[in-house]
Amino acid sequence: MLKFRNILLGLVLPACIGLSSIELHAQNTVHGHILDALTGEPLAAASVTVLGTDTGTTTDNQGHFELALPDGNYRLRISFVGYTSTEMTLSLQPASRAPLTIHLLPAVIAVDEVVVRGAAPRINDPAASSHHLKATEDLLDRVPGADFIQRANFAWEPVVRGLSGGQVGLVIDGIKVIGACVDKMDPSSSYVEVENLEKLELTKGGFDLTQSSQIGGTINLITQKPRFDQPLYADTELSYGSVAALRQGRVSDGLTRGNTSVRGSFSYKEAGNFSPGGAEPIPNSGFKKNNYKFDLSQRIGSRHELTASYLGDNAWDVGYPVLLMDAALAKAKIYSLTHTWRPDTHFIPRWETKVYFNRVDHWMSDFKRDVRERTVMRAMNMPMFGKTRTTGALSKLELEHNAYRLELTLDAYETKSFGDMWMFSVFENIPDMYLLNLGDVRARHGAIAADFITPLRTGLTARLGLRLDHSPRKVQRDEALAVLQGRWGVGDLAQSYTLGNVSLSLTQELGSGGRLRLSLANVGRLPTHVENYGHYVYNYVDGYFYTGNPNLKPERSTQVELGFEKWTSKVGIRASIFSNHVHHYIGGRNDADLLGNTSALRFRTYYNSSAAFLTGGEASIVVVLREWLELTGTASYTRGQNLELDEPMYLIPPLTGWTSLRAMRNKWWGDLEARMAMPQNRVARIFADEDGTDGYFVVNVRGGTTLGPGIDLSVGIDNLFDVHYHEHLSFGNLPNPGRNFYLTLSYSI
Amino acid sequence: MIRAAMLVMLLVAGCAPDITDTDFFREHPIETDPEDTSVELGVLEDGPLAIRLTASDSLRIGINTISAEVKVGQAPVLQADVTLSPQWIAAGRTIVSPLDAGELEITDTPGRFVGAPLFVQPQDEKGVWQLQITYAASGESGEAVLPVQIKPSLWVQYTGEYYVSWILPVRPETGLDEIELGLHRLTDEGFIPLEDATLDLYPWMDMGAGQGHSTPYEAPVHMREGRYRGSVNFIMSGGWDMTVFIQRSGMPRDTIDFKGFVVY
Repeated sequence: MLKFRNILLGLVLPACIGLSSIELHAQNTVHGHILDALTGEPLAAASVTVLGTDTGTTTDNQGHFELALPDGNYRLRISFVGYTSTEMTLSLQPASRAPLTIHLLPAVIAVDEVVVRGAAPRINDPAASSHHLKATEDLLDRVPGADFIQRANFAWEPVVRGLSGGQVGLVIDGIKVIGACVDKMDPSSSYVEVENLEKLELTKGGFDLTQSSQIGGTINLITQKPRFDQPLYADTELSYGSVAALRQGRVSDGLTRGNTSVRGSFSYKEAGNFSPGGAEPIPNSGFKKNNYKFDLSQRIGSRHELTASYLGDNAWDVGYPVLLMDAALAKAKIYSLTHTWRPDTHFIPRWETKVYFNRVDHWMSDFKRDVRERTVMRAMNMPMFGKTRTTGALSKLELEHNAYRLELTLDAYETKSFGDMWMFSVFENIPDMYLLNLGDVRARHGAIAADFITPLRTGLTARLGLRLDHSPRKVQRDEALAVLQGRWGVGDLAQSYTLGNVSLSLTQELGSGGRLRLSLANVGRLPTHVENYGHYVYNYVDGYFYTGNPNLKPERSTQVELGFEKWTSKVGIRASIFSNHVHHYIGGRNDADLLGNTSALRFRTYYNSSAAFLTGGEASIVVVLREWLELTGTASYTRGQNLELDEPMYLIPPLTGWTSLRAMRNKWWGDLEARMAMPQNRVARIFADEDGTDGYFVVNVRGGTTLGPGIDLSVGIDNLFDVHYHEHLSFGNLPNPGRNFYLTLSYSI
Repeated sequence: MIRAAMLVMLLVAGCAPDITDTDFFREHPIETDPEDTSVELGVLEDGPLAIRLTASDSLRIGINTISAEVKVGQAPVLQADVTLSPQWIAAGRTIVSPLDAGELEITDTPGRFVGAPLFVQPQDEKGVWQLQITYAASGESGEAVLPVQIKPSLWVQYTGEYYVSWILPVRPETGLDEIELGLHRLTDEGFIPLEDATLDLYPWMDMGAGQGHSTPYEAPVHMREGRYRGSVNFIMSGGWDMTVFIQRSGMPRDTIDFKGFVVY
């Protein structure tokens, strides 16, 4: 009943809201010129996107662009690879047709910024949207160097350059959302559906210190907000995918009246069991999910803006066919209040401060499983529950003076975590068992960060990042503390970390759109609360039950990256190589004091191993073959070595890549894509008894057209040849979906 | 229009099945206050002095927590000497249970004293239990005998040679528990503490279907008068077994099991 109501809502709500007149306006031609803010050089092939519309263009070789727009108010985003994108409001009236001059600041460090909406940036973004996104993962999956740990056909966990979990800083609008599932089945990336995603910013390596202390990279999912430039808008989309009978409906609407603007969205999707290539459907692999977001913005005068946001996500009946349990229900609620101040001065362009609270609850169960048949935890049901509550504040102050730019960040939050598990044997003579996985762990975190950009001389720019973190943490529940004390000795087992981080990037302009970048970093990441205080948390990677270690040291990383990019109106190339030496690498050590009587009951504790070393690189290329046809491709490779065990690190992706031939002409677009991976035989046999993975080659074909004003149709076939394969980072060698025919119908007003 | 859109969104938002009311997702039960389940053993009256004896549960073989509320009229007595001595009466002889005389200790509650006598029943003997009470309070003193019913339990095991009594913890809980065992032989003189044994442990959780696991522990060492103390870190609540190995010089190694006790 619920799903029918949701789908109906997707159709009816925008239609109801859209019962207002559509005015016709005279067309204006907007002229603009985009320049490098430091050198004054024109930027060729920069993207100009009119937010909330499908309108956009790119600059010519002299950095000029033209846009034909009716009278009205618009929000423009100007972006260019390697530069910090900017947004501006444009009021078009018959009397105001002065040309625009826009300066972009070099980003100095490489940020993969993938924009979801609007005209797809073309030449300057090989990872640009393929016009059809089923989930946020589709977007991230296109960025070289980004991969996923797959536990099911749902909620994949991001991996950046072979690192994941606490090694990667994943935030939503800068907000920390800590997962409640001790088995990491609820990455916060799953809470941002496509209709709510404005753009995705990915920084590989530990060079961006503004979001968090990390050693793998940062992912910031920037959500859609109310748009004052749009008096009324609504988008609706219905989709169907054959491989798992995926039914999906989305709606997002926005209204603006005076100084008040509101935006809301809702989506529902439901998938059945999916079929791998050439095989029968995998039992227990479906899911159901809804997602909703509501934002209310109020302008106070011309310089202040206040936005209240609420994001909710529910997923239930989520099947994890290769794991011991399924997610019976996963709930997340994220609240925030953001104040933005744009003083009328060039010295302080922006000061944004937000307070937030989020709660995540996660229930897992195996009551639908035949527990007598499995090898691990046989003949017992094990419902699990986890919850986190995070409260925080984030303030970012931007300062500019001539070509100097400084961003100061204050970041503070507190997380409370709880997790437990019952075990009910199917045999009546075995009493119920109870395990407290996380006994009210409280972790506080405060950080101050500075990000400074300065030109050193003509063509050479430096970016210096500094960050200082302090994080006290402890276990509050006596019952949990008692168990950990039994392992680590008496005392309150409280821990307090202080962590300093520094990064430096130097970018040398080479002329003709070329740029060379050298980045250095000495950064750290704090142990997660599970690594500190978890109690017998099952690790699916190596099949051991893990005890947290309050005495862990932070992982420390020394990194170097060398990057090159060159962008012309016809060809764009980006390449980078990196090395990452991780000290105090957090691994698992056998717990000799604790023995099980079967090979499936094994125990480890977290500990700091000596070191690990990662190296690799990524490359992207885009070539414009015709005005309407382009060829893109990416490749990435990471090599990880556990220096203590002298074997490869676990869950390191092999050489992977994709290539795509994209065409867009008039109302039609098409995309022929091939994705491939080489075999991965560098595996962690000692640590995790990891097995190798075969390579694969998969072809996808997609296309679409505009059927009428605001009405778009997309169709496609993923895995055209129904290849049976799985990713190396797929738990239990869970295969990827087979041939999938999909169809999407969208309507926008 | 804005308000209407907000209303619709709020009505629809958050629809998801609610499973939190199922019994399977209950939190670990909170420890019950012993005061709520106390069992009255009897009341001893001597003039104005009244001693009311209660136990946290029905008395059983092994250690039992017994409280005495000592009052004169309605006023609690703040200082009193109350000693409990479990005695087994069989075939005309009286066997006093091992350990020290159970002198009760004052608690934070005025007039309330508490102690933990140990009941050890000779193997294969028929008889009855009584509790000898010695008291001195508010100028009154004396002795009394209270017949008691003792339920069998797993907390005292007999190897055929030794009596092994589980003294501590009275209520095993998850985490690091101090384990205290009593080791005695029964002779014509009564229970004799054995101080020269070497003990070892093996805690085990049977999870069914042939699965199970141990947990970290330290073997008990002799403290005094046949009492041995070690520790076990019970990593999770549920049903546990504890095997105790007893080795004495010149004697064969003995083994007993405390099988199926619950750790909370």
